[in-house]
Formats: sequence, structure tokens, C-alpha cells
Amino acid sequence: MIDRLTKGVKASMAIAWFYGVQNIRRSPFSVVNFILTPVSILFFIYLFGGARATTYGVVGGLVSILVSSSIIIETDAAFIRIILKVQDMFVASPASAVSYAAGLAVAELINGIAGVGLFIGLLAYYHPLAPLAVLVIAYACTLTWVSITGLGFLISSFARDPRDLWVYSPILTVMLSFVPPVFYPLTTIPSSFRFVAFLSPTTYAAELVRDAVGLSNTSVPLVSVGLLGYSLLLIMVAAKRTKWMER
Amino acid sequence: MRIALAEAIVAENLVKIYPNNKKALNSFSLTVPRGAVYSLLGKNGAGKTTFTKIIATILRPTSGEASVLGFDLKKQSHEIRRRVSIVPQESRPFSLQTPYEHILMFLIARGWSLSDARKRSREVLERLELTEYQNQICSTLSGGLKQRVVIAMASAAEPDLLLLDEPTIGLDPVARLMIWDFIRELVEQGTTIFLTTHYMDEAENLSDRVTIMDRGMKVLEGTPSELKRHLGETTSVTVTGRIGAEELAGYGKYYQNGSASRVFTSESRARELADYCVSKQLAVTLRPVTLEDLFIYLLGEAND
Repeated sequence: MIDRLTKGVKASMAIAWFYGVQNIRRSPFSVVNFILTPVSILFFIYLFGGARATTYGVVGGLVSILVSSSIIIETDAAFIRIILKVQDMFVASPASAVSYAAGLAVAELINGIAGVGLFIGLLAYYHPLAPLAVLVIAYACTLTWVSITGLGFLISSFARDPRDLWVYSPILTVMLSFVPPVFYPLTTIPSSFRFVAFLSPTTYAAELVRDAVGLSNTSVPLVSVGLLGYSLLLIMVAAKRTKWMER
Repeated sequence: MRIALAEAIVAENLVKIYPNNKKALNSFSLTVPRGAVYSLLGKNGAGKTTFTKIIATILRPTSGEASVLGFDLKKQSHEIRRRVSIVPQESRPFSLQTPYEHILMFLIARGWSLSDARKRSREVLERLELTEYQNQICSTLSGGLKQRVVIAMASAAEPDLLLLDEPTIGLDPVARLMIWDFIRELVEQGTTIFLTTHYMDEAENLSDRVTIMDRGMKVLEGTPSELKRHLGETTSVTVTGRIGAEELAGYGKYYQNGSASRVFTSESRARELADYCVSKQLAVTLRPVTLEDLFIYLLGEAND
């Protein structure tokens, strides 16, 4: 069991080094791709919204970078499976679907990590972070990354052609980053409709981060459990429905 | 539990029906001895890749039984995966990574230690004459070199069974010969090779046994020599230019496609046909029959 786990982690690290570190070394501008949109939005919020609105923008930027650098696994995994046909080599090997997907997920995160660092730095600039706040932010970020990656890998396994997914990635990014209260306060939604916002896992993450920097008075235990439950649900659905072998 | 040791693959009555109701394998059975090069030939869409993917545990059969290296295909796929490796049809390496990185990553993903993986990567790169390109990103390599990178990845793992699905497509003749030598070397080291190819000379030169399949079913199986004997003739005559079917019919079995005709006949009748063609100013070549002739005869709807 321990041996299997160790080999799984090593496999994931090898894939992450191969696809994440080497990609960013040779194509460093891919980092900019993830930063550009949230930074642009933040710029306009800063121009027209003032300091308090800017902090909301920083929270939104952090969550949206995590979303975009997680959901991208959808197109990349489909490309590797359908165009390069290299996924078949992994299927016909001792490497498991979990270690393969985890390796790709870390590789994608490596592209987004500079943006995550930038936005956490900005958060700390606007609101000094207590150790507990850092833990809550780390918890929210990790579960957002895990759950959205699971969703992306699940969707990728159903694609017949990477073109199928070109449409979904931007739609999902908007549905997860811009439609729910990620860049704006949850309280702007009428209280009777707020439950709709919690259909998106990013609402939980944004609420937790906002609470950590004093922008919200949410129930941290409740929202934390909600995010954990949502993430587990997405991971379970992904594990059950993802097509590793062909049918 | 391992149930067979002398055979690398035992497949019995495999059926594969895809979700779109296309029947790719129709009660297909095959036995591949260990330590052999076994080739599966057939037209496009015959079911070769489907069978290869099933044996590699990439695809589930609809029905039927199979064991790979003594392990049950359905119940012991994890054991099979530790011992097989595949070069998928039309597979390509990643653009921004080097050949060395490909092999190293794949070996570690398969459970090798870093130091062993490093050593083995260098060995395989050298054997496949890729050392010169080992630190070049793959987008800058030619198509043939890219194909060699994928072959290097799959074979580096030292599998007991290596499945090669049309591995030499896009390679120049010199590179193909090098891959053939490499395959022979792997067999000498104890690897069983299962090959699908459209190059009949490749199958003929490399294989211990060959199966020809069509529409998901086995048409013929045997050694290359046995299969050629099945044709019942010794000489193949290729005629280029306009010649009537009635003119060819008297000489033996023939196949016509546009202005190219091929006749399978005895050596003496072949010479007579050659003389006749020369007298009519038609280009003609004579040679002993090959697997390609048999393939055309069986699957190209030759006329008797």
C-alpha cells in the first residue's frame, strides 16, 4: 500500500515536472495568460471602485486564477489523449488514472502559481494576514484547485475532439469566476436568491477568503464544510464517471 | 493467478461492438507465443487497432476471453499493465519537451527509480540513435525522429510484451531498418513483439507468425512462408499499362486496379506473360511472391 502510494506520488511529480516545469521554462509567457484577465479586471475596479472594492477584486482575482489554471486541464488532457495519443501509453502502464490526473493538475497549477502568489501578496498588502487567515485561504485555494481540476478532467474524458472543449473552457471560466459572487459581495444578491450562488463551489472559496481578510461575516465552519462537501462530491463524480479506459 | 506461460497472448472469441453499434471484432481468436514477433495484418478498419487496444487493457471487449502473459484480461489488468507497453497508432511526443525528458518521465511514471531511469534513458537514446537530439525540444525534430521518441519511450520500460501499432509509419527506409534491428534485439532479450503494420515487407522480414484479418475476423494465420504457399503460385508479375482482363485470365490469378495489374502464376507462365507484355510494349516485372501478393489476393478481390 505504502509502496503503491509512493510510486503514485513519484509518477505525479514526474508528470508535473515534465509538463509543468519544462513548459514554463520554455514558454514562460504562459504565466501571463492566466494573470492578464484578473489583473485587467482589478485595474478597472481599482480605477473606479476605490480601496474596499479593490480588495473584493483581489479576492476575485485569486479565485479566478485558480479556476482558470485548473479548468485548463480539460483541453490539455483531451489534447494529450486525442491528438498526441500518449494517454494510451499511460493507461497501458502501472501508472494510475489518479496519479496521471494529479500530475497534470500540478503541472497546470505551476502555470498559475505566479498569479496566485501575486494575488495573495496583494491581499496581504491590503489586509495583513493573521496565521489563521493564511490557513483558511490555503484551505479555500486547495479545495478550489482540487474540485475544479476534477471537473475539468471529467469533462475532458468525454471529448471526441479538443475543439469540443474550446467552447466549454471560456463558458465554464465565466460561470465559475464571474457569474457567482467571486468579484463582488454575496450580499449584493437578494437574500432569497443567495442559495443559487452556492451552486458554484467558487462562492464558498470566495466567501472564506473574504472572511479571512475581514470583508465578510460568513459562518466559516459552515462554508468550510460546504466547500469540502462540494469538492468531495465533484471528486467522487469525477472518479466514478471519468473514462480512463475507452469504451 | 497466471494461467498460461508458453503464450504471451491467448484470445478466444473476442467481440467488440462500439457504442455506435459498429462491430470491430467478430469472435476473433488468436494465440501469440512468447518471445516471438507476431504481426497482425489487415485493411484499414479491419479491427487491428481495436484488438491491440484490448490486449493493452486500453479498451474493454464486449465479450470473449483473453489472457495476456498468463494474466486474465478482465480480472488482472493491473498485472498486465506492469508488463506491457504500447506504441499507439499515430502517437506523437509533446512539443516543448526533449526526447530525454520523455523517456525519463515515462520510466518514473512506470515506477522506476530516478537513477535507473536516467541510466536506461541514455541507453535507449543511444540505441535508437537519438543521443544527438536528446536535449532538443521535440517540436524541432522531423516526423521520423518524433516517431522514434515514442518507440524509445515505450520500449525503455523493458516490457515482456511490446505492442506496436503501425510503428514505422513516416520513417525513412534507413530508420525503418534500424527499428527492425532494434525489434530483433528486443526479441533476443526475451520481449514478445506484437505488431500491426501496412508494410508487408516489414511483416515478412520480422515476423515469426502472421495473422491476416478482415472485418473483425481472422482470414488466415501462419508463418510468412506458410502464408505465401497458400497462394498456390510462386511468381508475381506486375504489368503497368493497359491490358485486358481476358489477356491475363489465362495466366493465373490476377488483380487489376486501373492501369496496374498483378498476376500470380508459375515461373514458366510468368516468363511467357513477360514476353507477351514486352511484345506489346508494356512495362513488366517478375519476382517471387510476397506477403503483399497474398494480401492483395485475399483482400483485394483477385480474380481466378
